[in-house]
Amino acid sequence: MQTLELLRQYLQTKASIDPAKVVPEAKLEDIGIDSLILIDLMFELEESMNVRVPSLDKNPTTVAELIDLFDALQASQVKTGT
Amino acid sequence: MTRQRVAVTGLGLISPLGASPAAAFDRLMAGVSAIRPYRPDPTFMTSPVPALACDHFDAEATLGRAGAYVADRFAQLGIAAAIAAWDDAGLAVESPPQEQSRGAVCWGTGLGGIGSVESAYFDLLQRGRGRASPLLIVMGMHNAAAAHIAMRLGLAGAATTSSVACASSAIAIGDALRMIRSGQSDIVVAGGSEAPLTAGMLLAWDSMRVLAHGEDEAAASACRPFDAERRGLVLGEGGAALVLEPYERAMARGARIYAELAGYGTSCDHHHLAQPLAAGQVRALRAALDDAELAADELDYVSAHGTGTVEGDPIEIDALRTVFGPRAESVAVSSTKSMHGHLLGATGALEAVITVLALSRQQVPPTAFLDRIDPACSGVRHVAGTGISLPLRAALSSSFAFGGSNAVLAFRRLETVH
Repeated sequence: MQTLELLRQYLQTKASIDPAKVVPEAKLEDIGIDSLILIDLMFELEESMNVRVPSLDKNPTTVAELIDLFDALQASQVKTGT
Repeated sequence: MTRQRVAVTGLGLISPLGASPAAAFDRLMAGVSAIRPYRPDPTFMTSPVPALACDHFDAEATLGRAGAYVADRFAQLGIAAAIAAWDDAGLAVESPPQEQSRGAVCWGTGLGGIGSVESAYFDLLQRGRGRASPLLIVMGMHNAAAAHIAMRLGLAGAATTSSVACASSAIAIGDALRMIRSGQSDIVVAGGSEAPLTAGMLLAWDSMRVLAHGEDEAAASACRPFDAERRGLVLGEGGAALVLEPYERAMARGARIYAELAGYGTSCDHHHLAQPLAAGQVRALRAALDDAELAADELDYVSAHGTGTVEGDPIEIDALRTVFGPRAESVAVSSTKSMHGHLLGATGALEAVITVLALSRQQVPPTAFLDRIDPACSGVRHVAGTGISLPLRAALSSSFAFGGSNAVLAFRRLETVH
């Protein structure tokens, strides 16, 4: 499943966030993802995609940044075969 | 300097007893129990036990899905009760709320987010998940309910949480009284919430051999405080809250005043983790009367702790006989736990709400299913079966906790009640 779809599904189920609002250019705080929901969201994505987010200097602030982060983690995992 | 009088101006309840405190009180007066057979998880519990469950509580309706999702059930029940009390006090529930710079919340819970903690351990140990949700921290913490309530209502002065087993919310209400008297706060939401109906908790209480049993229809009458045939307590979940404010402020804004919170007494048995002691309870009862400047003969009703255990009930009656002397025979006593069970850390708040309504309505709710008074529990005026109308000047609500902590709240009828 595409990362965006995973995100939309999680946010609709857990926090009633309208999937139509979950678009790449959206700022996370503008669509109701505060720091607490973000940390749980990243935890759930880690579980679903079987990746681990390393320590970050800066948390993602937009949907696109969040998707890029997880897509890159998954790609590097495929590449290294881990 | 004259001491600040404290008015009770709002009541909120989340309970299967009724959709509002008034409806719940009507049900209690009729002696109708809300206790039902309950089984949280067939994996661990082979048969249901009697319990009070808030089956129809819709957290999302009050808190929204996002709000409900970051809160354990105990916090959900608490937030909903606090909002109901705030609304009942004629205060606006706004989003975002207006900041109350000297507003506070004093909350009580014995177990906090035990359901979230228990299910996280189930995931870790039984399902082998290997990781725990980050939300467990903010859902499991005992002060989560108080924090949510402060956020929802804009209470900027203080948000405190008492966790003193079954006296938790009575102590929270007592602390609120002191906060207002000291001038620190001019409006306080005080109460408690508990969600203890998890497999682990039910099994542990059962192992302690203090849980009453009863299947099908017998579940409703399983809790029989002061009865010769009593077999133990029944656990319940729920939330209850009171809005407290200085009497002058309440009058100035034209608020409805249910009653006066007149005093608070506390003590510790310093004796045993689980066995109560009459001498300790006597100290708390006398301290509450003294604090309220009430003579023992001005007191007309005691909402007893009365859990329905074989050991505990006679000790409480012994304490009441000691405090009231020969007059004990004319002091009305009842334990409404017969109809709603024991809400542990929330029970003091629930019973405070009931005591306030008893004073404002001049009615005493009964100990239901009290068919034959245990001789060891005699010597007071038991109100059994169904409620009665009675002139009430002042009333006490007692909460006695494991660990030996005792808390007694004194309420007085106000002539201006309307």
